[in-house]
Amino acid sequence: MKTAETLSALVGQTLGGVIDDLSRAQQLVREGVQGLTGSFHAFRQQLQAQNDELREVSKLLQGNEGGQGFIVHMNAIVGRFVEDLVHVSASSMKLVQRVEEMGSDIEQVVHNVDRIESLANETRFIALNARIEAHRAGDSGRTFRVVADEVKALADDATGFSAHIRELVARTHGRLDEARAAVSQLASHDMNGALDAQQQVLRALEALSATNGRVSASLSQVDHHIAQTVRALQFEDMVSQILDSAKRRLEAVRTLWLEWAARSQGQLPTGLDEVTSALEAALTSTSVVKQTSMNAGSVELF
Amino acid sequence: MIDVHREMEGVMTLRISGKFNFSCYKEFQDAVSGPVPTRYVIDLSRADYIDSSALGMLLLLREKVGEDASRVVIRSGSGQPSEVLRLANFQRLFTVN
Repeated sequence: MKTAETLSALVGQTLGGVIDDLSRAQQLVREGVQGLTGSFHAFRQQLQAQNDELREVSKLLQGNEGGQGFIVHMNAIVGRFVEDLVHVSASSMKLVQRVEEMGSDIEQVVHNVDRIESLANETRFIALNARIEAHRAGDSGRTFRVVADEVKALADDATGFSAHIRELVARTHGRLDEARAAVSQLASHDMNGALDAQQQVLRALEALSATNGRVSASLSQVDHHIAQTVRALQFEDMVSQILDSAKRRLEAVRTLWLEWAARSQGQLPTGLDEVTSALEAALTSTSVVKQTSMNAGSVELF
Repeated sequence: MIDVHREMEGVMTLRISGKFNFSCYKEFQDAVSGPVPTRYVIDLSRADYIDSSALGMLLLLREKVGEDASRVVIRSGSGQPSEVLRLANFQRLFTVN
Protein backbone atom coordinates (compact mmCIF):
# COMPACT_ATOMS: atom_id res chain seq x y z
CA MET A 1 0.00 0.00 0.00
CA LYS A 2 1.29 3.39 -0.92
CA THR A 3 1.81 5.91 1.77
CA ALA A 4 0.42 9.39 1.75
CA GLU A 5 4.03 10.66 1.47
CA THR A 6 4.61 8.71 -1.73
CA LEU A 7 1.44 10.14 -3.31
CA SER A 8 2.32 13.62 -2.20
CA ALA A 9 5.84 13.32 -3.65
CA LEU A 10 4.54 11.89 -6.91
CA VAL A 11 2.05 14.72 -7.52
CA GLY A 12 4.65 17.35 -6.58
CA GLN A 13 7.18 15.72 -8.94
CA THR A 14 4.65 15.55 -11.79
CA LEU A 15 3.67 19.20 -11.49
CA GLY A 16 7.37 20.21 -11.31
CA GLY A 17 8.11 18.16 -14.44
CA VAL A 18 5.27 19.82 -16.34
CA ILE A 19 6.52 23.26 -15.33
CA ASP A 20 10.05 22.32 -16.52
CA ASP A 21 8.65 21.04 -19.84
CA LEU A 22 6.79 24.30 -20.34
CA SER A 23 9.99 26.28 -19.65
CA ARG A 24 11.90 24.16 -22.17
CA ALA A 25 9.20 24.61 -24.81
CA GLN A 26 9.26 28.34 -24.15
CA GLN A 27 13.03 28.45 -24.65
CA LEU A 28 12.93 26.37 -27.85
CA VAL A 29 10.28 28.61 -29.39
CA ARG A 30 12.22 31.75 -28.41
CA GLU A 31 15.49 30.52 -29.87
CA GLY A 32 13.81 29.30 -33.05
CA VAL A 33 12.04 32.57 -33.64
CA GLN A 34 15.17 34.59 -32.90
CA GLY A 35 17.06 32.48 -35.44
CA LEU A 36 14.35 32.94 -38.09
CA THR A 37 14.13 36.70 -37.52
CA GLY A 38 17.93 36.98 -37.79
CA SER A 39 17.94 34.97 -41.03
CA PHE A 40 15.25 37.14 -42.60
CA HIS A 41 17.12 40.31 -41.68
CA ALA A 42 20.34 38.89 -43.16
CA PHE A 43 18.41 37.89 -46.29
CA ARG A 44 17.06 41.43 -46.57
CA GLN A 45 20.56 42.89 -46.16
CA GLN A 46 21.97 40.59 -48.87
CA LEU A 47 19.24 41.68 -51.26
CA GLN A 48 19.85 45.34 -50.47
CA ALA A 49 23.59 44.82 -51.10
CA GLN A 50 22.81 43.21 -54.47
CA ASN A 51 20.54 46.10 -55.34
CA ASP A 52 23.25 48.61 -54.38
CA GLU A 53 25.74 46.79 -56.63
CA LEU A 54 23.27 46.89 -59.51
CA ARG A 55 22.71 50.59 -58.92
CA GLU A 56 26.47 51.21 -59.06
CA VAL A 57 26.73 49.39 -62.41
CA SER A 58 23.66 51.22 -63.67
CA LYS A 59 25.14 54.56 -62.61
CA LEU A 60 28.31 53.74 -64.55
CA LEU A 61 26.27 52.89 -67.65
CA GLN A 62 23.45 55.38 -67.40
CA GLY A 63 24.95 58.23 -65.40
CA ASN A 64 23.06 60.39 -62.94
CA GLU A 65 22.66 64.06 -61.99
CA GLY A 66 26.38 64.13 -61.13
CA GLY A 67 27.72 63.13 -64.53
CA GLN A 68 27.37 61.25 -67.76
CA GLY A 69 27.39 57.49 -67.78
CA PHE A 70 28.94 55.22 -70.36
CA ILE A 71 25.79 54.88 -72.49
CA VAL A 72 25.08 58.62 -72.50
CA HIS A 73 28.71 59.18 -73.42
CA MET A 74 28.40 56.68 -76.28
CA ASN A 75 25.34 58.50 -77.51
CA ALA A 76 27.26 61.78 -77.51
CA ILE A 77 30.12 60.12 -79.44
CA VAL A 78 27.71 58.86 -82.11
CA GLY A 79 26.23 62.37 -82.29
CA ARG A 80 29.66 63.99 -82.72
CA PHE A 81 30.65 61.40 -85.33
CA VAL A 82 27.50 62.17 -87.34
CA GLU A 83 28.08 65.91 -87.00
CA ASP A 84 31.66 65.56 -88.29
CA LEU A 85 30.52 63.32 -91.14
CA VAL A 86 27.90 65.86 -92.22
CA HIS A 87 30.45 68.71 -92.04
CA VAL A 88 32.94 66.76 -94.16
CA SER A 89 30.18 66.03 -96.69
CA ALA A 90 29.11 69.66 -96.89
CA SER A 91 32.72 70.81 -97.39
CA SER A 92 33.27 68.08 -99.99
CA MET A 93 30.14 69.12 -101.87
CA LYS A 94 31.47 72.68 -101.88
CA LEU A 95 34.74 71.36 -103.34
CA VAL A 96 32.80 69.46 -105.99
CA GLN A 97 31.07 72.73 -106.85
CA ARG A 98 34.44 74.49 -107.20
CA VAL A 99 35.79 71.66 -109.37
CA GLU A 100 32.72 72.03 -111.63
CA GLU A 101 33.34 75.78 -111.85
CA MET A 102 36.98 75.17 -112.76
CA GLY A 103 35.72 72.78 -115.46
CA SER A 104 33.55 75.48 -117.01
CA ASP A 105 36.43 78.01 -116.78
CA ILE A 106 38.56 75.52 -118.69
CA GLU A 107 35.80 75.33 -121.33
CA GLN A 108 36.20 79.10 -121.72
CA VAL A 109 39.94 78.60 -122.26
CA VAL A 110 39.20 76.01 -124.97
CA HIS A 111 36.78 78.45 -126.63
CA ASN A 112 39.46 81.18 -126.67
CA VAL A 113 42.05 78.77 -128.05
CA ASP A 114 39.59 77.98 -130.87
CA ARG A 115 39.42 81.69 -131.68
CA ILE A 116 43.22 82.08 -131.57
CA GLU A 117 43.52 79.16 -133.96
CA SER A 118 41.04 80.60 -136.45
CA LEU A 119 42.84 83.96 -136.24
CA ALA A 120 46.14 82.18 -136.98
CA ASN A 121 44.53 80.41 -139.95
CA GLU A 122 43.22 83.69 -141.32
CA THR A 123 46.61 85.32 -140.80
CA ARG A 124 48.27 82.41 -142.62
CA PHE A 125 45.83 82.84 -145.50
CA ILE A 126 46.55 86.58 -145.68
CA ALA A 127 50.30 85.90 -145.60
CA LEU A 128 49.87 83.44 -148.49
CA ASN A 129 47.97 86.05 -150.52
CA ALA A 130 50.63 88.66 -149.74
CA ARG A 131 53.35 86.25 -150.88
CA ILE A 132 51.51 85.69 -154.22
CA GLU A 133 51.14 89.46 -154.71
CA ALA A 134 54.86 89.99 -153.88
CA HIS A 135 55.82 87.34 -156.47
CA ARG A 136 53.78 89.16 -159.10
CA ALA A 137 55.48 92.48 -158.30
CA GLY A 138 58.88 90.89 -159.12
CA ASP A 139 62.07 92.45 -157.69
CA SER A 140 60.19 95.41 -156.16
CA GLY A 141 58.10 92.97 -154.12
CA ARG A 142 61.09 91.03 -152.66
CA THR A 143 61.06 92.86 -149.30
CA PHE A 144 57.33 92.48 -149.04
CA ARG A 145 57.73 88.67 -149.57
CA VAL A 146 60.11 88.50 -146.59
CA VAL A 147 57.51 90.28 -144.44
CA ALA A 148 54.76 87.88 -145.64
CA ASP A 149 56.97 84.89 -144.72
CA GLU A 150 57.57 86.37 -141.23
CA VAL A 151 53.82 86.81 -140.73
CA LYS A 152 53.22 83.18 -141.78
CA ALA A 153 55.90 82.00 -139.33
CA LEU A 154 54.18 83.98 -136.52
CA ALA A 155 50.81 82.42 -137.43
CA ASP A 156 52.41 78.93 -137.37
CA ASP A 157 53.89 79.69 -133.90
CA ALA A 158 50.43 80.76 -132.68
CA THR A 159 49.00 77.45 -133.96
CA GLY A 160 51.77 75.57 -132.17
CA PHE A 161 51.06 77.39 -128.87
CA SER A 162 47.38 76.76 -129.09
CA ALA A 163 48.00 73.07 -129.72
CA HIS A 164 50.16 73.06 -126.60
CA ILE A 165 47.40 74.83 -124.63
CA ARG A 166 44.91 72.21 -125.87
CA GLU A 167 47.19 69.46 -124.57
CA LEU A 168 47.43 71.18 -121.17
CA VAL A 169 43.68 71.70 -121.06
CA ALA A 170 43.05 68.03 -121.86
CA ARG A 171 45.43 67.00 -119.07
CA THR A 172 43.76 69.41 -116.63
CA HIS A 173 40.36 68.00 -117.62
CA GLY A 174 41.55 64.52 -116.69
CA ARG A 175 42.91 65.76 -113.36
CA LEU A 176 39.69 67.62 -112.55
CA ASP A 177 37.71 64.43 -113.27
CA GLU A 178 39.97 62.54 -110.86
CA ALA A 179 39.57 65.26 -108.21
CA ARG A 180 35.82 65.22 -108.67
CA ALA A 181 35.67 61.43 -108.24
CA ALA A 182 37.85 61.56 -105.10
CA VAL A 183 35.88 64.38 -103.50
CA SER A 184 32.54 62.75 -104.34
CA GLN A 185 33.78 59.66 -102.50
CA LEU A 186 34.71 61.86 -99.55
CA ALA A 187 31.21 63.34 -99.57
CA SER A 188 29.30 60.07 -99.89
CA HIS A 189 28.96 58.03 -96.71
CA ASP A 190 26.25 55.61 -95.79
CA MET A 191 24.45 56.79 -92.64
CA ASN A 192 22.85 53.45 -91.75
CA GLY A 193 25.79 52.33 -89.59
CA ALA A 194 25.49 55.45 -87.44
CA LEU A 195 21.70 55.02 -87.31
CA ASP A 196 22.14 51.43 -86.08
CA ALA A 197 24.71 52.52 -83.49
CA GLN A 198 22.39 55.21 -82.12
CA GLN A 199 19.42 52.87 -82.00
CA GLN A 200 21.46 50.25 -80.14
CA VAL A 201 22.55 52.86 -77.61
CA LEU A 202 18.96 54.01 -77.08
CA ARG A 203 17.75 50.41 -76.79
CA ALA A 204 20.42 49.71 -74.16
CA LEU A 205 19.30 52.78 -72.18
CA GLU A 206 15.66 51.70 -72.30
CA ALA A 207 16.49 48.12 -71.30
CA LEU A 208 18.58 49.38 -68.40
CA SER A 209 15.81 51.68 -67.11
CA ALA A 210 13.29 48.85 -67.40
CA THR A 211 15.57 46.46 -65.50
CA ASN A 212 16.17 49.06 -62.78
CA GLY A 213 12.44 49.55 -62.41
CA ARG A 214 11.77 45.81 -62.21
CA VAL A 215 14.54 45.23 -59.66
CA SER A 216 13.29 48.10 -57.47
CA ALA A 217 9.72 46.81 -57.61
CA SER A 218 10.86 43.29 -56.80
CA LEU A 219 12.95 44.53 -53.86
CA SER A 220 10.07 46.46 -52.36
CA GLN A 221 7.89 43.34 -52.73
CA VAL A 222 10.50 41.27 -50.88
CA ASP A 223 10.70 44.02 -48.22
CA HIS A 224 6.98 43.88 -47.77
CA HIS A 225 6.95 40.09 -47.42
CA ILE A 226 9.84 40.08 -44.95
CA ALA A 227 8.14 42.75 -42.84
CA GLN A 228 4.98 40.61 -42.80
CA THR A 229 6.95 37.50 -41.87
CA VAL A 230 8.82 39.29 -39.06
CA ARG A 231 5.49 40.60 -37.78
CA ALA A 232 4.06 37.08 -37.89
CA LEU A 233 7.04 35.81 -35.89
CA GLN A 234 5.94 38.00 -32.96
CA PHE A 235 3.61 35.10 -32.05
CA GLU A 236 6.55 33.90 -29.92
CA ASP A 237 5.91 36.72 -27.42
CA MET A 238 2.26 35.73 -27.04
CA VAL A 239 3.07 32.01 -26.77
CA SER A 240 5.66 32.85 -24.11
CA GLN A 241 3.12 34.88 -22.12
CA ILE A 242 0.60 31.99 -22.31
CA LEU A 243 3.25 29.53 -21.14
CA ASP A 244 4.26 31.87 -18.28
CA SER A 245 0.65 32.09 -17.21
CA ALA A 246 0.26 28.27 -17.36
CA LYS A 247 3.48 27.86 -15.32
CA ARG A 248 2.28 30.31 -12.66
CA ARG A 249 -1.03 28.51 -12.32
CA LEU A 250 0.64 25.10 -12.08
CA GLU A 251 3.05 26.51 -9.48
CA ALA A 252 0.08 27.70 -7.44
CA VAL A 253 -1.59 24.29 -7.68
CA ARG A 254 1.67 22.56 -6.59
CA THR A 255 2.09 24.89 -3.63
CA LEU A 256 -1.52 24.29 -2.63
CA TRP A 257 -1.09 20.49 -2.97
CA LEU A 258 2.11 20.35 -0.90
CA GLU A 259 0.49 22.52 1.77
CA TRP A 260 -2.61 20.32 1.84
CA ALA A 261 -0.54 17.09 1.96
CA ALA A 262 1.56 18.44 4.87
CA ARG A 263 -1.49 19.44 6.86
CA SER A 264 -3.47 16.24 6.29
CA GLN A 265 -0.72 14.24 8.18
CA GLY A 266 -1.08 11.03 6.22
CA GLN A 267 -4.82 10.91 6.70
CA LEU A 268 -5.54 10.40 3.05
CA PRO A 269 -8.61 8.63 1.93
CA THR A 270 -7.92 4.93 1.33
CA GLY A 271 -8.29 3.15 -2.00
CA LEU A 272 -6.08 5.55 -3.98
CA ASP A 273 -3.53 2.82 -4.81
CA GLU A 274 -4.74 2.41 -8.36
CA VAL A 275 -4.60 6.13 -9.09
CA THR A 276 -1.08 6.30 -7.57
CA SER A 277 0.15 3.40 -9.71
CA ALA A 278 -1.31 4.99 -12.86
CA LEU A 279 0.45 8.26 -12.05
CA GLU A 280 3.77 6.39 -11.46
CA ALA A 281 3.38 4.55 -14.77
CA ALA A 282 2.63 7.80 -16.59
CA LEU A 283 5.72 9.45 -15.09
CA THR A 284 8.07 6.66 -16.15
CA SER A 285 6.62 6.06 -19.64
CA THR A 286 6.13 9.66 -20.78
CA SER A 287 8.66 10.29 -23.49
CA VAL A 288 9.33 13.95 -24.16
CA VAL A 289 11.82 15.77 -26.29
CA LYS A 290 14.99 15.94 -24.23
CA GLN A 291 16.55 18.59 -26.44
CA THR A 292 16.74 21.87 -24.58
CA SER A 293 18.25 24.08 -27.24
CA MET A 294 17.70 24.65 -30.93
CA ASN A 295 21.45 24.47 -31.45
CA ALA A 296 21.85 21.18 -29.60
CA GLY A 297 21.06 18.86 -32.52
CA SER A 298 21.72 18.81 -36.22
CA VAL A 299 18.67 19.07 -38.43
CA GLU A 300 18.25 16.80 -41.43
CA LEU A 301 16.23 18.82 -43.89
CA PHE A 302 16.25 16.40 -46.83
CA MET B 1 15.09 61.46 -109.82
CA ILE B 2 14.16 65.08 -109.09
CA ASP B 3 10.91 66.78 -110.15
CA VAL B 4 10.94 70.55 -109.92
CA HIS B 5 7.71 72.49 -109.41
CA ARG B 6 6.96 76.14 -108.86
CA GLU B 7 3.65 75.67 -107.13
CA MET B 8 3.15 79.29 -106.14
CA GLU B 9 4.92 82.60 -106.20
CA GLY B 10 8.33 82.37 -104.53
CA VAL B 11 8.13 78.66 -103.64
CA MET B 12 10.20 76.06 -105.46
CA THR B 13 9.47 72.43 -104.72
CA LEU B 14 12.02 69.70 -105.45
CA ARG B 15 10.46 66.27 -105.17
CA ILE B 16 13.12 63.60 -104.92
CA SER B 17 12.23 59.97 -105.60
CA GLY B 18 14.29 56.84 -104.86
CA LYS B 19 17.86 57.36 -103.71
CA PHE B 20 19.07 60.85 -102.82
CA ASN B 21 22.86 60.59 -103.05
CA PHE B 22 25.77 61.90 -105.11
CA SER B 23 24.17 60.64 -108.34
CA CYS B 24 21.56 63.41 -107.88
CA TYR B 25 24.19 66.16 -107.61
CA LYS B 26 23.96 67.45 -111.20
CA GLU B 27 20.15 67.46 -111.26
CA PHE B 28 19.97 69.10 -107.83
CA GLN B 29 22.52 71.72 -108.76
CA ASP B 30 20.76 72.53 -112.05
CA ALA B 31 17.42 72.82 -110.20
CA VAL B 32 18.70 75.31 -107.62
CA SER B 33 21.12 77.25 -109.83
CA GLY B 34 18.55 79.81 -111.08
CA PRO B 35 17.18 82.83 -109.21
CA VAL B 36 16.76 82.13 -105.48
CA PRO B 37 13.08 81.80 -104.48
CA THR B 38 11.68 82.93 -101.11
CA ARG B 39 11.43 79.33 -100.03
CA TYR B 40 12.66 75.93 -101.16
CA VAL B 41 10.56 72.87 -100.35
CA ILE B 42 12.54 69.63 -100.47
CA ASP B 43 10.01 66.82 -100.64
CA LEU B 44 11.60 63.54 -99.52
CA SER B 45 8.32 61.68 -99.00
CA ARG B 46 9.08 59.55 -102.07
CA ALA B 47 12.77 59.08 -101.30
CA ASP B 48 13.72 55.77 -99.70
CA TYR B 49 17.40 56.39 -99.00
CA ILE B 50 19.67 59.36 -98.35
CA ASP B 51 23.38 59.46 -97.58
CA SER B 52 25.78 62.09 -96.23
CA SER B 53 26.28 63.74 -99.62
CA ALA B 54 22.54 64.52 -99.69
CA LEU B 55 22.89 66.12 -96.25
CA GLY B 56 25.85 68.11 -97.61
CA MET B 57 23.77 69.35 -100.58
CA LEU B 58 20.98 70.44 -98.21
CA LEU B 59 23.50 72.34 -96.03
CA LEU B 60 24.86 74.15 -99.12
CA LEU B 61 21.30 75.10 -100.07
CA ARG B 62 20.85 76.48 -96.54
CA GLU B 63 23.98 78.61 -97.02
CA LYS B 64 22.51 79.88 -100.28
CA VAL B 65 19.43 81.27 -98.49
CA GLY B 66 21.49 82.96 -95.76
CA GLU B 67 21.17 80.11 -93.21
CA ASP B 68 17.54 81.00 -92.63
CA ALA B 69 15.80 77.85 -91.33
CA SER B 70 12.38 79.06 -92.50
CA ARG B 71 13.50 79.32 -96.12
CA VAL B 72 14.25 75.62 -96.61
CA VAL B 73 11.38 73.29 -95.71
CA ILE B 74 12.07 69.55 -95.73
CA ARG B 75 9.17 67.11 -95.96
CA SER B 76 10.94 64.14 -94.40
CA GLY B 77 8.29 61.50 -94.97
CA SER B 78 9.06 58.28 -93.14
CA GLY B 79 11.66 55.53 -93.04
CA GLN B 80 15.40 55.87 -93.48
CA PRO B 81 15.44 59.50 -94.78
CA SER B 82 13.49 60.85 -91.79
CA GLU B 83 15.64 58.85 -89.36
CA VAL B 84 18.87 60.13 -90.91
CA LEU B 85 17.58 63.75 -90.75
CA ARG B 86 16.75 63.26 -87.06
CA LEU B 87 20.16 61.64 -86.42
CA ALA B 88 21.89 64.66 -88.02
CA ASN B 89 19.75 67.08 -85.94
CA PHE B 90 18.48 68.76 -89.11
CA GLN B 91 15.33 69.92 -87.31
CA ARG B 92 17.60 72.55 -85.70
CA LEU B 93 18.82 73.88 -89.07
CA PHE B 94 15.77 73.49 -91.30
CA THR B 95 12.01 73.46 -91.07
CA VAL B 96 11.42 69.69 -91.03
CA ASN B 97 7.91 68.32 -91.17
